[in-house]
Amino acid sequence: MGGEIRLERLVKRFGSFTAIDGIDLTIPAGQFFSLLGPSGCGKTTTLRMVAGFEQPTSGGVLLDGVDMAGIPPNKRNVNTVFQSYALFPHMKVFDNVAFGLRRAHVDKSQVKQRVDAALEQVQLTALARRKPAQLSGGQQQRVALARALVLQPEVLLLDEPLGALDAKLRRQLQVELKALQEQIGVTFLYVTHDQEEAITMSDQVAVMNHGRVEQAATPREMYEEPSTAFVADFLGVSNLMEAHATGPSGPGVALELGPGVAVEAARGDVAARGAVKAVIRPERVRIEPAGSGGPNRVPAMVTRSVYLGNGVRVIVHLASGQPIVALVSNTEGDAMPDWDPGTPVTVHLPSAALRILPVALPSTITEPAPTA
Amino acid sequence: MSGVSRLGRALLSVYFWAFILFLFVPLLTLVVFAFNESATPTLPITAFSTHWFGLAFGDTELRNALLRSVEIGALTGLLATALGIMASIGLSAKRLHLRGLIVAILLLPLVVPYISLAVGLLILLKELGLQISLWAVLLGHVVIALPFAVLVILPRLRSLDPSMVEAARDLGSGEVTAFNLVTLPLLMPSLVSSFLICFITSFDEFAIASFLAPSGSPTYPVFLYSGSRTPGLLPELIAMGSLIIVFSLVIIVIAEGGRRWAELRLRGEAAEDAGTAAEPAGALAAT
Amino acid sequence: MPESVSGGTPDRTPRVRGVRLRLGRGAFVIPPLGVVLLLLLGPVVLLALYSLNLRTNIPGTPTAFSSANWKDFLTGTGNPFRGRFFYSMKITVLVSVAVTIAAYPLAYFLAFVARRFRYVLLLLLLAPFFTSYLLRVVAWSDIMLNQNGLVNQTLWLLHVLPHGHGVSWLLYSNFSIFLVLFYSWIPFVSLPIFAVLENMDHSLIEAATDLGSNRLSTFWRVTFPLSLPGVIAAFVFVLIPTTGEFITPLYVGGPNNQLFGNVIQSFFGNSPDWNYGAVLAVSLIAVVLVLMLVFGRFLNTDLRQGEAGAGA
Repeated sequence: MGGEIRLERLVKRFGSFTAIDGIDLTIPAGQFFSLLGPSGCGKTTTLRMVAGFEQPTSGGVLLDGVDMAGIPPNKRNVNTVFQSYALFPHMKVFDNVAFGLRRAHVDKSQVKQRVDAALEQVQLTALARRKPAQLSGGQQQRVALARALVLQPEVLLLDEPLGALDAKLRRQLQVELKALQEQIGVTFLYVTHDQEEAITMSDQVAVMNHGRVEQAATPREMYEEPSTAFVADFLGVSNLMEAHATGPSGPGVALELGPGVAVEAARGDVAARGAVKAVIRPERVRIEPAGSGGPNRVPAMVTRSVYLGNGVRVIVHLASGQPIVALVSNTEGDAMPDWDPGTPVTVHLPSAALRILPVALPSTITEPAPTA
Repeated sequence: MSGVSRLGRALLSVYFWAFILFLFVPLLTLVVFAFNESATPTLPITAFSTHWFGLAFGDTELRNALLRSVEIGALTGLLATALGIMASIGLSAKRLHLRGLIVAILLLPLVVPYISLAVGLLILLKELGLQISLWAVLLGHVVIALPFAVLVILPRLRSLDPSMVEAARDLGSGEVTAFNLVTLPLLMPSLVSSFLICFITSFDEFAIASFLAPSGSPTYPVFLYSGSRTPGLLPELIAMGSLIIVFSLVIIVIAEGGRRWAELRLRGEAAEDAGTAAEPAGALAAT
Repeated sequence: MPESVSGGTPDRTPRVRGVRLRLGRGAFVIPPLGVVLLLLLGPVVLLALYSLNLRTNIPGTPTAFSSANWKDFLTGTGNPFRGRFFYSMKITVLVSVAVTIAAYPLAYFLAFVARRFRYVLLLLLLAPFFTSYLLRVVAWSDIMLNQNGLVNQTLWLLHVLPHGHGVSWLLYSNFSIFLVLFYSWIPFVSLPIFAVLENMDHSLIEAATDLGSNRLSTFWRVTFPLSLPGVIAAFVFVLIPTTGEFITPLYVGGPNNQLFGNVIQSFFGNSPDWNYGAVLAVSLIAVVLVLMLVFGRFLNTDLRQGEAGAGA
């Protein structure tokens, strides 16, 4: 089963605006792969180039090793689920799903069989005779899915398909989509700006920013080991700190977070020296009573605490003024400390959770010489 | 609701209905006097008679003039609508050089006085060495009807979700097929409106027709003008005119009703709920 | 701007004789554009040429650039056609102002009083406009306003006037021209005013009332000013077509009430001095263009915008 996508030195310019600034990416066959990033980062443009609605300015889109340049969308074995679903309002659900099959001149009995199977797969068999306007958002989304999948493409492109749905429905459909992908094994290339969505559904995620891929990795790798400040901040919340790396310390590096504040960081680029950026996730930060001893413990004062229900977000400031956000899980219930503003505490930054970001962005490609 | 006083509402209502009366009375008189037996349209109404209708339909010149106008009108409707579709497709392209200028030129016929255009076309025919003819009238009508076609079709085209055509292509259809299967059906209401408006514009047009129609083949408006100067012809013209008036009013009502029906049909019966009863029991399908 | 595709991928843009041709959807605009250029701008250009004596319809007459006709029309003392032009414009402006003022309460009624049925009543108001213009004029010229017409009959019936003595200025007068033009345009002119009043944010009116304004003051200080774009649009909608009006005077105008359009007509019908007639025809177009430039920005410019630009 194919469905591997390779983007090679991909560049896309609209007039003077560079939407895609050089991407090298391999999306392995059969994976649930997400393109994650803020609005305007180029993820949808990338998707459209794979679909064939935009032509690259330079570089190539390869499907299973075959260059797609010049091949129009209707001739690619790739299908799209659009953000607005793009269902044909004047056709019944059945005819919407049958559309592609009829264009391919599949014979009538086959068409009926395959459409029925596709509708069954998304649990919409009973609504086959309805028109799209009579369906709810979630149902329309399923029709769009069935319509694309019935053609048995090698790659399914999804452009923020869950954006228009409410939170509860979205979570439901996330589970369904993931299960569906695992079941049929088609490569899903999924575009979203919602990092939670990307993390929970994907086999791999590529974080994009300003037309470039900042990092491509499994969700866990990306969350635990972000390679840039942007990725660290985009996925979940991070504490980003400026620090000074002085020398080796145990398995890691000695860091000065501020005058007289020395800690050890054991993750990331421990060979770096001089000015560096360090990150630690709020859920790894421990708030201990003032005066606690031990390595990587720094005195601090509570500025604010926000009750979240499943935990408390505590914002503390170090003596140097550096703010640190901690997320304390609600394991004690009513016995949780209050942490009123002004309470002195000790902040514990475990060295195994403290990561030094690499200094240079792992560059994807060098810019080809301008041609036009 | 917006704070118009009781008195204000009463005054405005009277004003409005007085105007409706003012607008419809002349039309009514045409219909009433069409049935008047007397040859002159004055009170009192002598007797009820339909013989003017008979005479009108029997008058070959009148019939022929009407037919010519209907033919030219229908052709204008078709041609102008076709050109309107093309213009709309072109104007909906993402990037278009000199878009503003093109739009201005396409809408120019709306502002050019028809009398100036008519004499200008007369000169054009002369310069090209052509005789005046009904074809020339047709071409003149297509030009003046074109902006209406664009004004009706373009907004409708713009309102369509562009992803739909992309979806059609994504699913395997070429550009032309996508247009025929997706865009065209959804444009149909506006195409019908365009045809009607262009037809009416052509059917009622006098300036261009008066200059470019050969004297032996007048269009209906030209015939109406010369006929109204002839007292003997007047009752027939009134009879025919009343039919046209009633017919156009009926068309308007049908067009409006048809438009609403088309909207409903396009979106499926609004009465049917979003399938709560037919929903499968599974939690996954619940919305 | 051709997009170049490099990096080893084949260039598939269609070529025509070596020149790279990128015919996007925009090319569809060419046939309609061609039709307008040929059948509208062509005649206008020819009119200009005729007006400058560079071409003529009388065979055998020498043609050379001459602005004599223009000079005569624009500056000749007591030029009757110029006089007729100003008379025309006077009537045009009067009608436009009257129609706009008269239509405002109609639009207001529809937007604020007839809430539930406003669209049906709007259709009722517009319906006459969509019937034959000529037939409506004929109704006035041959049934209503003529010597034994309905108006006079009604006056006789009501004993306002002795039987047989009709009001002489009902027909073939300034009054009849004014009335018929007014009658023709009222329905159409209500539309833009209605549209503006309809789309107005009604909470502004509520806010004014909430702040202590009485009904009249609210109307004058909030509703009316906000509706001005519609009012001006309505005025322009009447003004521009009426400058070229010549059909109504043919039916209901006397020899002294002919409008400028009729003058143009006479030059191309009865006495074929096409060169002079062209001067008048071009002048009319020029006047309309000037009016468009001055008032055009108040009209709907929605069509000027292209599709949303390329995005990410």
